[in-house]
Amino acid sequence: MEGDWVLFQLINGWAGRWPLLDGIMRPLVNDYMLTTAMSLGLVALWFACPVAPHTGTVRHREGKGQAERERNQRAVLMAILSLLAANLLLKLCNIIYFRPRPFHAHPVNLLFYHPTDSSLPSNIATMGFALAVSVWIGNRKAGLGFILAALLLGFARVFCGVHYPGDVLAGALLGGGVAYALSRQGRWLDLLLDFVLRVARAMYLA
Amino acid sequence: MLNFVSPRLALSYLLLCTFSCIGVLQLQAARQRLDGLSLWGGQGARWWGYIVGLSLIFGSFAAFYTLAPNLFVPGLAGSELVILFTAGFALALVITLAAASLAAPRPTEAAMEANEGKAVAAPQLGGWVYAPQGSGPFPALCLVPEIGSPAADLGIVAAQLRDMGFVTLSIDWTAEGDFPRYPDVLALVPSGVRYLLQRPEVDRRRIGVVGFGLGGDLTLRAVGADEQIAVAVAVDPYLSSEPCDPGLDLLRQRSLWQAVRWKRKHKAQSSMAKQLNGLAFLSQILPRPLLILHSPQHSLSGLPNEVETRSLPDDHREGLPWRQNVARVIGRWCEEHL
Repeated sequence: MEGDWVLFQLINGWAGRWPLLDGIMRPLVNDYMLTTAMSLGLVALWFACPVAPHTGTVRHREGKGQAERERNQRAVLMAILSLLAANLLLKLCNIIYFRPRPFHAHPVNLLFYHPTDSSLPSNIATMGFALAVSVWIGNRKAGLGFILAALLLGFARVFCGVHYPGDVLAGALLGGGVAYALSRQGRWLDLLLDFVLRVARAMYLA
Repeated sequence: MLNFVSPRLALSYLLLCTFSCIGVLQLQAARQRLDGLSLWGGQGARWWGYIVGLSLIFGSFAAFYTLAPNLFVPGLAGSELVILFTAGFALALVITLAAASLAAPRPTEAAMEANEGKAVAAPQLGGWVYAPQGSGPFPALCLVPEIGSPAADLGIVAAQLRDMGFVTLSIDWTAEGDFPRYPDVLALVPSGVRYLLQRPEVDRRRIGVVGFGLGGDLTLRAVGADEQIAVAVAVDPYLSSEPCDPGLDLLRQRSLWQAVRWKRKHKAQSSMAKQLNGLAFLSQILPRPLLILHSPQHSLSGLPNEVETRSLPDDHREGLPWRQNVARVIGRWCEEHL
């Protein structure tokens, strides 16, 4: 906990010094920008359907492009499932353990409002990393972008004084762990994803 | 419990999600050539899609951060954000698909007239004829479009073959109304060939039939049964292939409405391909020249060695008959063999 506080001071100490940096961090830390951007990323990934140049008519379309598209769409569905599962675990954690926010225990540079729920684990880091790890497992290139967004989100939370670095780390482990564990599940999850993809395909959306 | 803080904030976030999702769809429509997701039906330059997409995404974020109230006080909860984003995405999808359906181009008879085709005036035969200048005699080709597709689909191909010196008849199934039924459909190619034989400028010994898609299967069947026909070309025939479900790929060069119609038609076509059984008639066509142009993904195995097969040009799209290079391949092959 001591190390957590030291690291928090190091990062949060930059807040309030440079108006430009504060101006960048304030929109990033709130609930709308990066979360919406990551959701838009999922939409983009779903409709990214690369087709190799040697594809045939639509009646015979198959091969590399189609396999890659299906992998992307499975990653999107896994991200949504991971988000739901991580959210359930998060609620459970919040019931079992409550950690006060940094601004309750220490003088901090607060650039955000006063959230009242438990500081550990960070909700937004849990969600961000659940999405990011799911996407990364299905598509490394797109996943890297999601992981960077999740890291930025976690950093902004500490910078603005609403979380300790340990909260973000715990959220990342929880969200990422749930995503990884779900990806290791076998047939029952595949059956569900196959069903959803079949329905979406029938509606011309997969 | 859901309370959405304030109606104005909830509405602002819903609009952010809707417009930014439309923006993402426009980017992907431009990048992946998904005309069915393009607000203007994929017409015009692709870079418009990038410009409109990026403008919508950045514009909606800028408007949200400028106009939405109280963004830096306790705002929407996670579950409320998920609900509003899902609603915004659904709204964006509906708007995009509807706009693409309204803007999608429709081939019309005007397209045929623009290519200087003349409507055929013959009993029990609809179609368009394209004749070169002069008194002939010219070789003639009977074009059989994908069954259930209008003759307008072949306007460019027919005009190009005319320019290469062929009298070209493009049969129009849709002149008869609904999707044709088996075995009624078997009468159409003989009617077309009879019509060509009556024309004074046609060389009666140099008549060929070119069929597209299921029209290719019908061509194999008809040429096998008629020895007056000198050559046959089947472009991407079914050859008893099983029906497939291409899903999102159908929105390339089609609106949602057109995709729904394609799928319905495709089921009927697959069923008719089995009834036509074009493969069984190959032996009756040979030793006359026969060319099968096929998609690279459609493996043709077990054909007799005498059948010439070629892969379709790489850059062709599903709107196959529109592609001029396919017409060029057919024209050159027919010049050689007819």
